[in-house]
Amino acid sequence: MGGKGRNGGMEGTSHTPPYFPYFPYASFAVPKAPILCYTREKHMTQTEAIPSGTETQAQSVTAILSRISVPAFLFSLALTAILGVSRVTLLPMLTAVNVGGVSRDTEELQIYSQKLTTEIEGLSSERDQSLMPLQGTPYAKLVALKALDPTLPEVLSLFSSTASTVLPDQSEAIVLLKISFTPDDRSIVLKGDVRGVGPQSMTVLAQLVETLRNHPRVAEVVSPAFSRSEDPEIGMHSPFTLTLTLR
Amino acid sequence: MTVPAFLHRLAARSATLWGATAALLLIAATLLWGHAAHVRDVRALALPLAEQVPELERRLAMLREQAELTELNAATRIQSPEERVHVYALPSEPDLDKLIALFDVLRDALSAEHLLSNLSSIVVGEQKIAEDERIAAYPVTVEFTAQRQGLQSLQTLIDVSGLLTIGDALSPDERARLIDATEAENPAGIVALEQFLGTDLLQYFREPRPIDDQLLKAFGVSAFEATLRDVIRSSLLSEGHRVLGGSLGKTLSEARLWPLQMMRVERIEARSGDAPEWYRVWMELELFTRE
Repeated sequence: MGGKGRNGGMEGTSHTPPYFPYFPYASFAVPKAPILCYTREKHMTQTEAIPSGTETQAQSVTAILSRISVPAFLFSLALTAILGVSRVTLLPMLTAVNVGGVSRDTEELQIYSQKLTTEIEGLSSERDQSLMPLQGTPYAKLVALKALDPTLPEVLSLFSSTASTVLPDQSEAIVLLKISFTPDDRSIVLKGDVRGVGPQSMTVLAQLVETLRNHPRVAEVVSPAFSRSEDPEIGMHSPFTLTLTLR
Repeated sequence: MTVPAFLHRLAARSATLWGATAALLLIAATLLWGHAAHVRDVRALALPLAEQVPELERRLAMLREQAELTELNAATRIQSPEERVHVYALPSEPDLDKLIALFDVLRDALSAEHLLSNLSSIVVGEQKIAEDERIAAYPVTVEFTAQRQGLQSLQTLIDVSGLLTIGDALSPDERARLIDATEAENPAGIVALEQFLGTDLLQYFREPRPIDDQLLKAFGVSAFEATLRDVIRSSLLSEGHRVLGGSLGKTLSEARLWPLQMMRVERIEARSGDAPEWYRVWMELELFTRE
């Protein structure tokens, strides 16, 4: 310690801080502070050797962190190494699936399954070609086209079954006079008449149109013009011309 | 360097150590996440695949066997299917004599049953090229008066025109049902199925039972029989047997009119006739040839 000066002898002297082995700033010198020195001089005998509470707490935390940095590092290194080894060797070995005496991991199983599926598709196609050798030829396309065509008997059945649905006890009141259609475009023109039901002929006609519209084979119905006229021979009747498109 | 000196140096780099520790813990967390993802993949993908793979292997082995058998059987065919198509179904020229003879036979057969009358002359128009340029079509118009059942018989004859084998008369879905039933019951029965599908169609219409029995011998009394009966019932085979199983089929065979040239209805108009269920019909057909 230096001798007394005008300010109590502390001015100009440096104070050697206590030694903390793990404190990186152990060699850091305390700067000169005249006012502090004066204060220190005044309370020198009591306060100089004992640091403040805040400083003690900070130094404790720093000390703890410093002490545990190496163990923490070693632990994290060991943990990472074990997890790495486990991921690369142990886990694939334990989770490989044995199928037919061969162990495969997930990726290998996916590749193998895809390979089997591709081979199966190829062989199925080969077998089907053997069974039907003309597949893909113009002949086969014509055969397929014909199979999809609507036929006159089918259209007649559709109409008569619809008429029976609309008038179960009097289906002959819905008369079909003419059918014309082209199977290619699936469009059918029906000309007919609703007769023998008196003034309800238009109502029956509307029901006929609605029932045809809801038929599963019918895609579209173009509604006819609704009219009612009186004929001296057949009485009240509603002639119609309907256009249907089949599915 | 001794261990204490090494640790002393480490101590001097506390901040660096903490930084390295944080990085390692991050890597460890990533590896742990990888573990969890791997286990999840095994549960979600590998285990279901492990169940499917044996079935796929079994199916592959069965298909290999079937492909070999069908190839061997195909090699024993006398006449190639393409040749039959070129000679009968799609010849290079329309066979008008055969067409007129066909309508004559049809008129005689249906008139005898009071199902058809007033068959007009047949008019054949100029050739037109179809959408597929390898195919040409000749318009053929005919008028007649027919009862509803006669109409159905005539339609069936047009439907089977140009078809050569049982396989041609079945839809792709119907064939697939028979193939699936073969795989399920007896994969080696694919040879019997191939022979069944390749059988001449008129021969089947006239005598279906021996041909069905020949196929069923490969399977015994089983679910396959139920599938076969159901397919026959819902397909053109049933209607074809009704129309051509009797005298009409016999006449077509004896007059060498079978197999028929491919025809399709292009346009049709029908008016109600004088009697119920009778119709006056005007029909335009397409008679196909190959280019």
